[in-house]
Amino acid sequence: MTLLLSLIVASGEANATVNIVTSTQDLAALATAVGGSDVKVDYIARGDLDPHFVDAKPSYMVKLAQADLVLAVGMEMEVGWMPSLLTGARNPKVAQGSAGYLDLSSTVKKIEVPSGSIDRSRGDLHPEGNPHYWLDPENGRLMARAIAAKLTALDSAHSADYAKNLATFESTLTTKEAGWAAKMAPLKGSNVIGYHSTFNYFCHVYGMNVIGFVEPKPGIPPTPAHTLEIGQAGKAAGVKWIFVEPYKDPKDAGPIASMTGAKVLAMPTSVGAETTIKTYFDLFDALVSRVAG
Amino acid sequence: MFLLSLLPAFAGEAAPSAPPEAPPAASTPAEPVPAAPPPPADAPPPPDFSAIAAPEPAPQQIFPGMMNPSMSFNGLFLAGAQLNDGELAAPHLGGEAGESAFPMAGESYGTGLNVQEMELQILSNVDPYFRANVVLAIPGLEGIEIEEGYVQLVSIPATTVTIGKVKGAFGRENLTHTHALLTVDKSLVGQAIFGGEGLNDVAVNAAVLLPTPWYSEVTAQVDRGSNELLFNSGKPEGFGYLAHWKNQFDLSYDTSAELGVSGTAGENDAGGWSKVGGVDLTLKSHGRGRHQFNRVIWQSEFMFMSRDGADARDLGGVYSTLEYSLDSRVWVGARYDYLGIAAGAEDQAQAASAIFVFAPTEFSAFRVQAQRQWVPGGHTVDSVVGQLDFTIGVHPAHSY
Ligand SMILES: [Zn+2]
Repeated sequence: MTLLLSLIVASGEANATVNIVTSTQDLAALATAVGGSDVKVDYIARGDLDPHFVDAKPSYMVKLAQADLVLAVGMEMEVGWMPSLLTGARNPKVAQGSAGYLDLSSTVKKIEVPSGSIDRSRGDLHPEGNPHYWLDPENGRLMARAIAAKLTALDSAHSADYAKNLATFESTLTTKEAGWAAKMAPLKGSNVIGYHSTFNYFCHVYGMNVIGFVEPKPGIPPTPAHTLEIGQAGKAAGVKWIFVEPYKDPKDAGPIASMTGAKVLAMPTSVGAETTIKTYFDLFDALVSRVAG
Repeated sequence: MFLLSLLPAFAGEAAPSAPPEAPPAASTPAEPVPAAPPPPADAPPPPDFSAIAAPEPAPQQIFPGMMNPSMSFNGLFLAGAQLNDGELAAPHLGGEAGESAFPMAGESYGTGLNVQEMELQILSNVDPYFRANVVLAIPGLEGIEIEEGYVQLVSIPATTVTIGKVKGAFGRENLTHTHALLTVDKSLVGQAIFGGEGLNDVAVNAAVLLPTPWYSEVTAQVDRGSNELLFNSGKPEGFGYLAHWKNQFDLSYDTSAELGVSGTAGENDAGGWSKVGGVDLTLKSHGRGRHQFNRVIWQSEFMFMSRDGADARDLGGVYSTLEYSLDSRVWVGARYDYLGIAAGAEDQAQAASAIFVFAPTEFSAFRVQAQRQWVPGGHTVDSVVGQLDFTIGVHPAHSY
């Protein structure tokens, strides 16, 4: 009994800062922007990796065991790995459903939420809609607000800092958004093909049409029949680009590119996907400059 | 046992638990949320005691669907062909353990079609304190058995207490479900020491995550000691005891190592004690970006059993698997088995296996295994087995 108590006391000490662990590097960048010096932030999925498929490595359980707050994308993005990591972490503070667990999908504007019956014959990924919502900068604003609210609730002593950091983030975002929108304006109405539906939010925001995907269904690799079909559709639509995630093979888009004359563009999906992308703003700077120069 | 003594105390204090904390107003979060009680971590010591007495009222929701337990069903079909060069006991296809070509070589697969296993898993939170997991198995289409059925106390920091029928935390293979193995069958040494169903018994265990910078977990268990090959003293007090120390380190973000030490002991059916020790080592590595799915996994386990009593004997062995994923859907692998360390000629066996896996999604996989076993008497047993694996229901957890 004494042993257990002393163990608990030891683990509760030295928590002047809020220890945040996020599922992705995008959430880590937002948490850093909002939390500033009052938080310590670590992430699980590095930005160059497919966040649908992350190893449930025990070392991540150690991070989660020491966390005061866990931030997740939700919408089943982490369904294959977060539940087992949280179980292994043995930290009731951040268990799903507790105050230390924040699923940010509850706060954002979603697209492609399926209506009607869903079934895995349609592919195994997006049962609750498109979970790549961080690629809409306005969702970044909503996420930052939700993180600030959660930090204020958990650590009211620093609420003024969080409010100030959030205000700075929001005003920078507003300025940045105007610049991105100006650069992207000429591309409104362009037709593009994605590999996976990762860039649908980004295209949606700037009025680009995603006319199809390299993969036939979410999570299912390309097939010759589908490649032919999408190549023909792409040619008819005059597709400009094929967007490929850093964790997908650009070679898979080659046949469609040669059928349509579209350019294969390696696009970052997350903060950390490329070494120069360190903040949430860097991510959109990179995406915008890649298509709009 | 101090953990058990905690149980009545916390059950009594749990009743007047705090009302559920309102979720933050996410849509209007620019304004500070009404001051919530400070988190336990920020309170003066002993800060987390309140977390024991009254954990967060919200249950640990593992999967969506609060009231329905999460269920999944897994099936394994086998088709095989076997060639023997000697007078061996009739081989079988995917049946019970022990019905093997020779008693200590483990399972082998004969010619024909069979169901290796059908498994229904039901997982749910019981309440804010407990989680329950039941795995009903139909091995080889005959009968139904409770492969696992346990409740876990999950509401105290750093520790999971498990009560029920569980797979013993001995090394890596024993904890792995059949459909999650690289190979179709378990290692020769694992089957020779623990039997085809492994070490799986009614037990009470506590698994504690140590406060180290790397993952270090100690599990201590007392079980019924009913494993037929190993213990089975028949005495009510003939318990089995098990301890496991698991360590996992990241050598880099992409490469990790796991080192485990395990031991189990108990009274056997020959008036003596059986003791088993084991060491396991696993190295895993994957690439960056689009090479994320190019993985290499090298896993090895050494086990040694010493049995005294009327039929005293020692038996040790090792297996090693190497696995390489070409992409997210195709991987190839191999396993080498050696059985018979410190044993007589009648217990000596080796096996070499080659494995090819095609997994269209995380919910289905097709596996082919070609294997040669060298069994006592200079015989060899060659087999080729195909296995079809499917899962329906909740998303499977990625094993690591
Ligand atoms: Zn996706």
